[in-house]
Amino acid sequence: MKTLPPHSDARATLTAAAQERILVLDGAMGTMIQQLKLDEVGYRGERFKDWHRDVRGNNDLLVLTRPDAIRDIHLQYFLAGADICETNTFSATSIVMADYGMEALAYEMNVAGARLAREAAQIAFERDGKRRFVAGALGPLNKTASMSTDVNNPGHRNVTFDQIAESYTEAINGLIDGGADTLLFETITDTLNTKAGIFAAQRIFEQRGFELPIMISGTITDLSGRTLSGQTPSAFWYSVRHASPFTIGLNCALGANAMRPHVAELSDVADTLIMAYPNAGLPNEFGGYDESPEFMARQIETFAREGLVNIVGGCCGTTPDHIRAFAEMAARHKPRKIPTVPTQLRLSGLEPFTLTPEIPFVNVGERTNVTGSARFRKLITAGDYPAALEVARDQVQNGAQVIDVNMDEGLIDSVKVMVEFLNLLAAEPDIARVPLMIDSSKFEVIEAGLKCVQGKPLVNSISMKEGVEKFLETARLVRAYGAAVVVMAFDEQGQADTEARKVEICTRAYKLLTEEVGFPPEDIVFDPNIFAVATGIEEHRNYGVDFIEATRTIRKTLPHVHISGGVSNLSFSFRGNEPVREAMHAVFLYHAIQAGMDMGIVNAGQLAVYESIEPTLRETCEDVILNRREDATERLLELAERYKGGAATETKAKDLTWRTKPVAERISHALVNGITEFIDEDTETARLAAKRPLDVIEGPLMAGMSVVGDLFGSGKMFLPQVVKSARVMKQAVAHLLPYMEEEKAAGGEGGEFRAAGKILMATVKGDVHDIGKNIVGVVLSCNNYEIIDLGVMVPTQKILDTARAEKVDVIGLSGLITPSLDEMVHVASEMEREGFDIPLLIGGATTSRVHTAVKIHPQYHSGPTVHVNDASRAVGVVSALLSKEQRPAYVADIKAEYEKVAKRHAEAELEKQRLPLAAARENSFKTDWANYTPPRPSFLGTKVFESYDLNELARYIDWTPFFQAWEMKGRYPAILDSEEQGPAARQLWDDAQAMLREVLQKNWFRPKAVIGFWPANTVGDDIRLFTDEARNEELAMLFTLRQQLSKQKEKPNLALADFVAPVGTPDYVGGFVVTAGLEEQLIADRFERKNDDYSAIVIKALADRFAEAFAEAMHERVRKEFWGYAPDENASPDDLIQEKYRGIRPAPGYPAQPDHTEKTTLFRLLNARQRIGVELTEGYAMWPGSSVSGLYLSHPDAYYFGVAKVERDQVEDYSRRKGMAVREVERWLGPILNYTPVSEKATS
Amino acid sequence: MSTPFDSASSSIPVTVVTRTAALPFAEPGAARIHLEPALHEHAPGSECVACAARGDIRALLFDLLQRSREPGSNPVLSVVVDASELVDAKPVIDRLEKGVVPAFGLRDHTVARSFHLSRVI
Repeated sequence: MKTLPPHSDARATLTAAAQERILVLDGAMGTMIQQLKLDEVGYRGERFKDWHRDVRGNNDLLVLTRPDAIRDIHLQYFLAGADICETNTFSATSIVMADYGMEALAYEMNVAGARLAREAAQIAFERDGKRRFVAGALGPLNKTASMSTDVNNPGHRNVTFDQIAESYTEAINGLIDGGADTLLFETITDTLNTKAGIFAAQRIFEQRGFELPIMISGTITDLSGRTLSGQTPSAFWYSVRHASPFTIGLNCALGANAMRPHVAELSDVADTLIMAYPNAGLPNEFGGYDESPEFMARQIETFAREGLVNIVGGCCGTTPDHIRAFAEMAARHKPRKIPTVPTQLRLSGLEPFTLTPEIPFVNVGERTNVTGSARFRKLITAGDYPAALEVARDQVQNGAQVIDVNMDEGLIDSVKVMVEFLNLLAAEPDIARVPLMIDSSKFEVIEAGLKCVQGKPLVNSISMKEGVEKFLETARLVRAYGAAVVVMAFDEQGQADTEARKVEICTRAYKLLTEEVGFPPEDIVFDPNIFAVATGIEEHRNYGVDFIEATRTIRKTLPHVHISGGVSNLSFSFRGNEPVREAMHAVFLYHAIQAGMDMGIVNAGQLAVYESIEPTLRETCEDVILNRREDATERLLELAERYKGGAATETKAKDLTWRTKPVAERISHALVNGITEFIDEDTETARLAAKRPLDVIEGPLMAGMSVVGDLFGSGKMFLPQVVKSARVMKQAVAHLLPYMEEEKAAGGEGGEFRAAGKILMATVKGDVHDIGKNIVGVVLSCNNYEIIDLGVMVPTQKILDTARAEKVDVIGLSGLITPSLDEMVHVASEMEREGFDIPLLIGGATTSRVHTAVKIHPQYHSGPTVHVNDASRAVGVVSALLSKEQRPAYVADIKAEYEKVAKRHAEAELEKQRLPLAAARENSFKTDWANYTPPRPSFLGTKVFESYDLNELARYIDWTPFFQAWEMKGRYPAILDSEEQGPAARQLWDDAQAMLREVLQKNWFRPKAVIGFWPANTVGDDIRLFTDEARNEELAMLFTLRQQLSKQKEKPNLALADFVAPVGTPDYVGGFVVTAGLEEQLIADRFERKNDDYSAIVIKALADRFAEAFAEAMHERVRKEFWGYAPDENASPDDLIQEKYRGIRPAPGYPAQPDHTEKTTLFRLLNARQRIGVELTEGYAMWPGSSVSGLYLSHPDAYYFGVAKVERDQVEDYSRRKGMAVREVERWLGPILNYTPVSEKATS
Repeated sequence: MSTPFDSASSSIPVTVVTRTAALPFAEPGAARIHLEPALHEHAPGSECVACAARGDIRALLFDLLQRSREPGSNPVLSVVVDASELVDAKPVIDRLEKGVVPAFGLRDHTVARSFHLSRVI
């Protein structure tokens, strides 16, 4: 009988085979076990028939109770073409088995699991003589070392590195004893768990004197492309690369297609074999999987064709049939070639970091170091971890690429604090994304830290201080934990001070590390010791030069290593004199970096720029550091006097110090900070110094605005701040205008300011809303675009005529109500007809990318149409559209994207099922009208409120939308404390409150309202109003639309009429129109005339809030008083915002009744125009804009809903009921039609 | 400088609707998540850790948070989870109450910081 060769040659045999072809791994074990349909008794077998806990689902137990079945599954996979089978030991660790009380069986299960797979391999080998391999499966655990399972306590851990290592040790020993050829860590959800497993495996290999190949397979389950513990694929690879894995790859997750980009990423960075074994898609509702063998093989074939893989297989849902298909596919393709990866230092946090030649210098943040930062030490000793984490966060935000954490303080338990801090830090993704430098003079602290981090960190530091033996031992441990290392130039005789000693010690350490330990040279960072200079001691004078020259030599003679150092030591003798210290650091780094120092522990937020150091100071520092003059130290000490305390006074008078700067900087400061106070004065100064007034605009003012633009673009400024900057700009320009006129009059060249582009902005015909448009306009004008704002309700012809006359470069349209969508389509088709080819921008609350792509874009072939819904994108879009270089590609991209959106939209629409109207009516909302008595209002007819107390209304204001109007996302009041937007939000809030006080004191708004109640009953889908209680004479008909979406059982297809009683039960309906008053526009105009767009927008947004508050307040009075069905209601303003009350106030034109034309009936009933001066535009927008209208419905079960899309049958029925032509109805309901109207088909 | 795990600037309220016909009106900025019964559930004995993680309401909220950051997306100000078709909405509610069901991944911490269960209807 032939016998399988022993596992000792597995690596060589597999490596050789993998060079020839793509190898095949087996498929799912769980799926096959599921097909056995075992019950509790089946799982238990004879041996565990009296076990004290349920064991059904413990698949690994089957290696003991159903060995025949498991062996057979392995055999099926081997015969289907698998080269490698995984043992059925996914969960056979003591940690997971504890769930079944079977932790003591873990070793036994692993032995048995490996043995069964090996037996199957033997049987297959006997049949066809083909060698098969057994991978000992080590699954993830149900506990995680790198993060807390309790979101309320992010520093908590339910398992330690050591416990995991112990548990895996037992499993690995079992697998090896049972005859596994390789070890496979798979479905990895927590990299730190796996690092503990690798640590355990390497210990075992050391003890046993031989190694098995380690295979590693992670899992990416989030659409973000991260592992569950938060790492990117590359970061994950760097974390485990120290295991020299035989394979790296991915398994499980969302199917082959979703896995492809992540496999591709690994394939690029990993210099080892790639293995991929995805699930058969996503599980369906029966717990099964849908992707057929052929389908999946085709998907995986793309991996093979692109040369991404060396081994393929299947995970959940795959079967021997899948593996057969994969094997056939794999045979047709060449395996991936292992790439040569440049020898570079590769670290990781949640994200990878590679020290490439393009990075001249790595900033290691030094502030989270108790020995270097007094503030951090205080925070740590006080146990204030939240503030300590902020320090770390600041470092990263200030550009630290690695952060140094040091807890060496005599009074604290360094091990404990290091662990606590690192565990907390792991839960802060914006900090944990960068690699860590674990810094301590005590190795036990370092080791404790290494057990907490899933990424690949740096250790700082080890040295030969305590002899070579100890050095080698610590280096081996550092390597086993997968870290890179900083080695101090330190030996038994002490720290190296001279150039020669530095070079000698580093060279010796390099040889030991690379030759004895097998440390990769690129993972070694030497710290040749930066010592203090300018101490007055003769021997210290050359320390700067010693470091710089040693660096030069080491980088030349020891390939791939790096040089680091603690820069702040250098200036120790100038403690307290920050300006001088910063200058010394900058000068030192300038020279050291040129010599090859590529890493340094520095305060990332505080690095001075070499060129910007005052020349005398710079030269004197240089003399000291480069040891160029005998009297260098004396001269620097003398000079330092001048800078002493400089920093302190600077902070005290901080507010006005900017006034002492040159005028250009003052202007820039005023623009960035939105300060108008001095701008006239500064502009005048600049004008007097300039040749022509225009130079001031094109010079300092534009320069300042471009700073603002950059800050806004990078998210460091928010909209309200930018609008304030614009106010400063306008004021400055206003100051200059008379001088420019004068120059022109005197026959000069005049002052035609050349803008980057001319943009026409308009709110389309029938619509009056313009807050968003104004904001976009202001932001664009800040970026040097000239804005021609035609205001609101602008007819198409006026837009086109102005565009032509003014030769504008772009047209921007805005609108808030749904009929505006059609108006925009109209403008687009007219632009096409009249031969325009300039870009058309679409924006406003009801507009969308889909609508733009489906309806507007196809109408305008000659020029690009782009949907831009926020001010922050506007600048980028416009500049791309107006740039000769960018435009063609950008336009092509947009076009392709919109075509794709339109196509997808059309496909999605086809799939959506709608009910015929009759069926929708069948499924209307049903309630027992016979047993319900609708409440009677306290009066019938209408009631007018000529004025209303503004103070009372202010209580009802919902502020959240106010912030939204400024594109500040978040809820009031939480937004005021938001870390990112808080400062900007608080400023805006203060300004709004100041404005509000003025509004209240001076009664700027005159709110008015009219409400009414009428007897009403539902007739079909409509509500009939009667002239009086006799209910004989019809007063008006309120038409409503019904949902036609095909509903899940029990959900009704609603129409508003459903909430009103049918004839026979006397019911009532109310209606209202409220307005904040006509004054809003007058006040806004007044501000605009003063060039104060900011205040103009604030007042408009306030008026808008008052109108909404008025509607809310009035509705409350209606419920409690006028209709009076809820006299005892006691809702707080917050409850009101959340609509916790009985009855609704739906508005025509909004989701529950999308037909804007219904407002006509409401306005007629209330006579709103004559009584309170609110009228309807031709597009059925209300004017003034800060107005709200709607119906009142009182039924306790009434709630807000959306009609969504309607079918042709309802439109035809509705038009018949309403007496409006079908085409007319279709026009107003355009956005909600679920079909293409005939009229549109004809034109397109 | 951002990561997919960046929390929302303020905690977003999540309403879980368990009763049919109680779905509130979609206010501006409200995102809706519709949970369908049995999807992503596993038969006993299935070992797929990753897929179990996907069906979690917290994974869905995490995706939502990320999508809302894509350029051109509207901000999510509130979320309505329609759980009315589930036989038992308790597991969903438990996953939204902070600290009841263990965090499974780093993203669960982000979700806990970005959302809060405001009411159950």
